[in-house]
Amino acid sequence: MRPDLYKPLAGALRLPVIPRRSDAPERIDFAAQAEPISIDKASECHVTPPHIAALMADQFDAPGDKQTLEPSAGTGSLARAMIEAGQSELELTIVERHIGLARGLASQFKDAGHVNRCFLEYAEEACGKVQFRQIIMNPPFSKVKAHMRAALSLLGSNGHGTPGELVALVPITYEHPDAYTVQELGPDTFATAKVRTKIIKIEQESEQ
Amino acid sequence: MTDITATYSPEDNKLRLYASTRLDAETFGKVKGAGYKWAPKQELFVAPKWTPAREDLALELAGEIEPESMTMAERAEIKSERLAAIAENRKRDAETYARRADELSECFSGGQPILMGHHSQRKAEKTAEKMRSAQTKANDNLSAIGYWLYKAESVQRHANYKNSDRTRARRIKTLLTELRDVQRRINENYKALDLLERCTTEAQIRAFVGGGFASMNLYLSLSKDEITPQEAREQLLTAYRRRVNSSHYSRWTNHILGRLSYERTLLGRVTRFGGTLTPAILQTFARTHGADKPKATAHDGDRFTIESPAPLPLHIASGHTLDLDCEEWRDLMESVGYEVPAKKAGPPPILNFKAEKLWTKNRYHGTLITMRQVGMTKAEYKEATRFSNAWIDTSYCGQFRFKTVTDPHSKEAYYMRERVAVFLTDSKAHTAPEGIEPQEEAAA
Repeated sequence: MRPDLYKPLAGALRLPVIPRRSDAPERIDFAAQAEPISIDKASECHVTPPHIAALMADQFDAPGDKQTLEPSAGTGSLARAMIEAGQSELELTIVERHIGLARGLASQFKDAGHVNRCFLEYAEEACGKVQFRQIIMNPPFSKVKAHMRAALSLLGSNGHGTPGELVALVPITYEHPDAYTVQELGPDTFATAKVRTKIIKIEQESEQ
Repeated sequence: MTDITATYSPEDNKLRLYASTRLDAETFGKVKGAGYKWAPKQELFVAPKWTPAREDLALELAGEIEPESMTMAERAEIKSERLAAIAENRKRDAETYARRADELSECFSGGQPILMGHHSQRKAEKTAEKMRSAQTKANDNLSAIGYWLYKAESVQRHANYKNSDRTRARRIKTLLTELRDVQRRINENYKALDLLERCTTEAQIRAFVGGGFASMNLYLSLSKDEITPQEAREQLLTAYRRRVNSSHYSRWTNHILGRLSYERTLLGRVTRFGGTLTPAILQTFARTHGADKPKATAHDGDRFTIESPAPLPLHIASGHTLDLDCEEWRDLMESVGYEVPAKKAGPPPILNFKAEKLWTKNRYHGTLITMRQVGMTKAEYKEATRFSNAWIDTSYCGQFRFKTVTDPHSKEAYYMRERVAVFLTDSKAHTAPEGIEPQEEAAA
């Protein structure tokens, strides 16, 4: 080859190094994004959306240190709304039959009372021995009448001098003579079920 | 009509072909066959290294070879930016996947479980799977960002490394090795041709062919008497003369010398040798540049002659011998870029002087070892070293070395005998150096 091809090139031979390695971001920890658990459909666990739960919690006169019950709590959506509305966690009793869901509730609400059994059995056993001033519930719709009956058996003034209050999310077909409808909800209320529902409120002095 | 430009860069020893349009199938086949590879990002064909065949093809396609216009550093800069852009893309993808995972997790944010057996089960499970997949992809892309940024930085560092003085000095050594390899082949061909020309009898020719100077085919043909020894000799003479007169090796030699001159230009000026020339220095110089068994001799005061069984490398001389005076040898060494290696400092001298004790260092952890000195004759020392290990230790101060041996006068079992310093009473006694006593010992 020609000798002039072996002459140094005109351009730069060295260049300033831009340190870039340290700019690499860290991995994202997705632990905050809850991994869903799987349970049997018989549990009929359809989680109440947060805004509906908040609406239901607002129906009580004055949440505070009153004995409160959430039967068939599922993931504790209603209990959470009650605590956000001012309910003391110490006066909260949560009943849930499914062991996986009950374990999740126990880790979420550490100061609340937990009952890991069927609410109907619990109500039958506790009837006459305990009374709750406030009950907030989203019962399994296939046994809504039994659950409502059991809940009403535990509802009372509990020494507060005012009637016990029960706020429930029930199918639109459910009727009770003392209940008045707070709001009717559309079929898209739940992510996993298309059903027309309503929020009702019942007040009663003591067990019927 | 495709317009092709060929370039050569001595920086990376690569030939490049720039084509204005897509090459036709025939040209593409020739280019690929010669070892050029398509660099899609740069849109050019690049040969990994110069060879005569690749140069010939470049000349055939382009007419002439021009100097490369872009340096390695400039090319690295462009590549670095490209890799950084890939990292940016991965970052964007990671953010997209993370956002998607976040959206999908909304379905489960209220803690809605998957209802097994319910009609929503399939959709919920698919949503959960999509969420997990998006989470994995988000983190995979985040990991890829680090990889691409590492590459982007490394490309720049690599370009600087290739142009560092230390790398250039090592590259010069490699080039000299390549030069010797090429020159060795030239020398072997010359020597084989010379030997063959002197082989005239049938026995000599058979010995030549059987001695590894001919192909196996020729050897077998001769063994089976398919050709006569004289015919074999003629074939071999033709082949060796063709090799000796071929321009192939001279092109390689010129190319390597060109690259050496480029590297030396950038490394800095070659220092002219100012010391006293010796035959050993000249022999090393000639051998470094590929001369075959060079023999240097001094004569007439300041003249030196180098002789070699094979012709000397063409860049040194034409022929088997070269006779020059000292200044001419210095000029020659400077012109071909040869620097006489500096003499390495040797170990300190071995001293023999009378002392009570001497000190050395443990060779592994440098701790002080004190040795008692024992006087003995050379004969006694020789006798003592017959059955025990004797070695030379460097003194603790590092100024001198001294002989040590397992104490020959000890009555202990061999393995329990102490090691002592030796003073040879019937040898020349040196003067004891100053400050040989370690500070720790003096303080004690």
